[in-house]
Amino acid sequence: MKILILFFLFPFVLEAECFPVTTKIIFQGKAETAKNQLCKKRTKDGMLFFVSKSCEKDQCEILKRTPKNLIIKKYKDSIGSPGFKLCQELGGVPQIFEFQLDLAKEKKWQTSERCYFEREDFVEISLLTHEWKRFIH
Amino acid sequence: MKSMTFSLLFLVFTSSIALADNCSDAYTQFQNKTNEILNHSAITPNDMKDFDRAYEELSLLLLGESCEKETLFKANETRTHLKEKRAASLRAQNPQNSCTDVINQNEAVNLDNVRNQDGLGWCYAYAAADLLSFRLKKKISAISLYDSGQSIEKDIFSDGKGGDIGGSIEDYLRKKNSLCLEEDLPSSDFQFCTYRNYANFLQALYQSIEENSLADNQCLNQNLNAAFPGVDFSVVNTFSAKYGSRNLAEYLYDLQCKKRSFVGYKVNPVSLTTPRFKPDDLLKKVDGLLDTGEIVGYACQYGTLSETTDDSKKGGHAMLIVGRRQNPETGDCEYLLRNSWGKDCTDAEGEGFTCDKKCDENNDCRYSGHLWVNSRRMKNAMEGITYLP
Repeated sequence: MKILILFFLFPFVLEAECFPVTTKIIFQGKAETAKNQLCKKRTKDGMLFFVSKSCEKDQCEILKRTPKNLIIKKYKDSIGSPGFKLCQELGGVPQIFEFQLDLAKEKKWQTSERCYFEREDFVEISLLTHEWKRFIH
Repeated sequence: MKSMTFSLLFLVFTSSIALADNCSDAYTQFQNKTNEILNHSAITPNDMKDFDRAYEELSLLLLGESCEKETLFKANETRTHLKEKRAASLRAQNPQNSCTDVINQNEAVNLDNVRNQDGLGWCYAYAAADLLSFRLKKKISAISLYDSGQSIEKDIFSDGKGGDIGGSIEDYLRKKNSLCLEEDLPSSDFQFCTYRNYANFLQALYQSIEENSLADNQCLNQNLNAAFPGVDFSVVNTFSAKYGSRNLAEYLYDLQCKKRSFVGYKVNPVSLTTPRFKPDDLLKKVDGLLDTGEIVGYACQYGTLSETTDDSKKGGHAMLIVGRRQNPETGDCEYLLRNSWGKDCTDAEGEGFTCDKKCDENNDCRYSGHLWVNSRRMKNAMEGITYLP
């Protein structure tokens, strides 16, 4: 009976918001891989970004911060990647990384960039540019 | 207890039926509207807008419902069908149209692995590396291909001056008669102690040689070993005592690229520039190359391409043209540009300038770091193209 009740109470299996991944960074010329977790962060316009487990559901400091006007020197200069400049301006450390979904049927490496704030907190840099770009002058 | 369980079951069961009704009503309403659109003999831009409105209404009705994803997935299948019909309508209007859909990618250069040039002005080297990587199906080191026409020492003090795609390939092959793989000399960032970016780190390295302070700087030493594994301050000191700091970076690069790849490889990149060649003719050349499965280097004025009024953004930039499509909404021919700014979609999108998005079956969309730009903007901003014959 209990099984039946659970079936009716949860008629649809909820999609996991955090999932296991293998991450890869280049350090001292060598690829360093690690088991990690990435969590989903959706924006109002339906875009999906990945954040650390510690930033799940906007729990970490950077996602609680309200965007405000920023003046970033050379932000719009075509020299260099604008996202890295924003990450540094917000007090983070940018890092290029690759990841692979552990549960995916077809394993494929994808590249991305994250901005580290504290030891464990990171968000994808494209999330920062998406949320802050209106406030950069 | 039994009666309570039964009531609870009944409540859950009836509410599940109510949810299903809400969903099917909303979807039937959506289908009625979209079937009417699909019945048109030719699909117009206004039809596409009407579809978007119907989709928006459906999304609102389903907001928070458990059937939301499943129903929107079905609605997206209708969108795909409508886009196909719109493309067919455009082809029927203009049978001579050469703007067919194409995306050229392989295991070394694809929509999932866009590069990031960090704070360096070496966009041309990243484009050159991808051009070679695509041809050779192996990832070539981008930073190995720096060639701005001035020494690297000068170059890094200006955060990378810029250069040209074809020149950097020619110059490197002439000097080294081989190539360096990305795995031997990674262009991706490493964890800096205090330095803003790669160029900033190299600047600090040069400064410490001049001041003879490298041995005391633990942080710089760590970074040196991270950027150039196996190299410590004694290697740098020995080199600089003999030759000074000139060509140090090239020496350190060569140490990492000891295992030479594609030895003896020869290619003479073809660079065609404006105003000698008309942008119209260059874009025709691009079309021909895309049709034969190639990708093409593209040099442009970025400010003109993005149509910004911001003066600081009006510098030259290099990217790659990797695809083409006919925009089903506007009918414009658009080109897919591979940038080297990571997955960012930094610029304000506008007509004929949109960020490429990849959406999955759950309707979750992610940026790929590529841009769709229409032919008008491509021609206006064009400075030249480079391809490998």
